[in-house]
Amino acid sequence: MNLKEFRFHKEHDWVRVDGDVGTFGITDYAQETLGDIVYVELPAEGETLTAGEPYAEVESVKAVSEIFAPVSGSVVEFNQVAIDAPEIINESPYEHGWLVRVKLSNRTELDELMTAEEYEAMLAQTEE
Amino acid sequence: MKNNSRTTPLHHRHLAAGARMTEFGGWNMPLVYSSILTEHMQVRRRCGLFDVSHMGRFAVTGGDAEASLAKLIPTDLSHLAINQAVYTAFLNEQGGIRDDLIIYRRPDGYLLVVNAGNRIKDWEWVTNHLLPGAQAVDNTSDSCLLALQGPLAFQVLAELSASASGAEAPAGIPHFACAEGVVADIPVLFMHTGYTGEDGVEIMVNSAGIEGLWDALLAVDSPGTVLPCGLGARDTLRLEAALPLHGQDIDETTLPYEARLGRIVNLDKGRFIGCEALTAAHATGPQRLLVGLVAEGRSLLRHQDRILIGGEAVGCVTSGSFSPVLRRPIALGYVPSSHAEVDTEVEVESRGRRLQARIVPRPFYRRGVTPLPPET
Repeated sequence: MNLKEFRFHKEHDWVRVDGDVGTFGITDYAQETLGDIVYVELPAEGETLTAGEPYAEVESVKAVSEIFAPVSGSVVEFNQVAIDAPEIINESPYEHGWLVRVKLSNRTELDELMTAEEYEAMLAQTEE
Repeated sequence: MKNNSRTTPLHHRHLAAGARMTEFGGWNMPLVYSSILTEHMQVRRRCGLFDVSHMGRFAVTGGDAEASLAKLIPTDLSHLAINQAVYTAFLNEQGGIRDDLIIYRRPDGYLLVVNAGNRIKDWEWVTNHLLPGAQAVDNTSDSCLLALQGPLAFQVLAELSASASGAEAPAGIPHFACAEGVVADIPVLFMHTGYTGEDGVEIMVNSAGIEGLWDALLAVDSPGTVLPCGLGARDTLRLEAALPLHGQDIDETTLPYEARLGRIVNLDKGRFIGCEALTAAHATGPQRLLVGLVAEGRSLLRHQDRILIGGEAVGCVTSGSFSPVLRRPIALGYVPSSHAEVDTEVEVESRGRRLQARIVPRPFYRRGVTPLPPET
C-alpha cells in the first residue's frame, strides 16, 4: 500500500484509482476517531454516488458517522468483509477495510482532492 | 479540555498511557486507552483498572449520622453492620431518583459514594438535612478511587499484598463489604463492589499514594493481566450487566419501582423523603417498567430512540450500545408495564429508520453463566 496513490476528501475519506474504477474507504484518522466499528451500511451495486454526498454509514460503539463520496460514480462492488466483520475497517482502513468500488463518472473531480501530504497537513492544522 | 473541568491526580498517567480523554460529570476523564471492545473483554476475561476518582465521596459522622441519612433514603440502614455496604438512592418528594449511591458503614460513621455529575447537588441535599449531632465532609478532592475489576482482580491483589510488609489480603471480604488493607505498602480501603457485572474491588486511597498504587497494580507479574480501562468500557460493561446510569436510565422523574429497584425500598422502616409518593405508587403498581432490548439487526439502538409497539410510540431507549459478549446491539428502555413481558416484539425508531428488537431478560450478561466469545 502506497498512500501516494490515494486522494483524500476533507471529510476523511479516500479514493484510490485504478483505470476507470475508484476504491473508496475512510482514513486512519477517521477510524481512530470513531473507535470500534460495529456496523456498516453500504450502497448496493448499481447505486449512483455523488461527490461530497453521504453514501454509507459507519457505526462505532461511541458514534454514528456518515461517509462521504470523494468523487461521483456508480457502485460496481461493495466489501462484504467490511459488512460481516466491521472491525476490519479499524484494523486495515487503507487496504482490507475498503468500502466500495465505483466506476468513476467524472475524473476531473479527482483534481479537487488532496494528496496524502496535503491531507496530513490539514490534520496537523486541525490538531493545533 | 474545558477550563472548568477537573482532573484526577492520575491525569498525567492517563495522558502518558495514550488515553483519549472525555468530559464526564465536570471531570476530564479517560474515555479509552486502546479500544473500548478490547478493554471490555479485558475486564470480562482478566482484569481492568479504572480511575473512578470523579465519583463523589462524603463521610457522614456523629451520633445523628444514621438518623440523618435514614430520612434521605428508602433503605433500612439500622441493620447495616460495620464495614457492610448497601446500594440505595436519594429520592425527591415525588419519589423520583435524585441520585443512586452506595453507603458503606464505617467504624466512625458512613461513607457515601455518589455520581460525579450529582456531587454538588447531593452535597447540598445531605448537608441541608443533617441533624444537629451529625457532620459531613466531602473527601472527593483528597482521596482517589480505583476500580480493579475482572476474574483475576483478587489474584492480582493477593500477589501485591503478599509482597508488602504487614499486608492484609482482601480475598475474604464478603460481597458488598469493605475492609482496610495494604497494597504495595500503601494503606487503602478495599470495597467489594463495582459497576461492571464482574467480580472485583474498588479501592479508596489517599491522593498522596495514588501514583504508586496505580503503577504497582499495572505492573503485576504476567504482562497483560491488568490493563487500564476507560469510561467507554465502563459504560458498555455496566450496560451488559443492566446496571442503571443516573441521568440516563434513572432520573428525578423515575420511581424506583419503574427502574426495577423496588428492592431498595422499605416502606415500613420509618418516614423518608418520597415515602408518601412511593406508598401511593406501590399501591397502584408501576405504569412503566425498565426492560432490556436486543436488536434483531446490527445497527445500534441509542439513547432517546423511540420504542414502538404495534406502530405506536410507547417509550424511549435510555441506554444503548453494542454488547461485546453477545456481539449484538443491546439497550435499556421503558415501556408500559402492560407490554413489558420478555419476548415482546418492539420497533425502535433510530435516525428515521425502524429497527426490530425484542424484550429480553436482564441482565444481558451474567458472570459465570453467559459464555464469552472465543478469543481472537
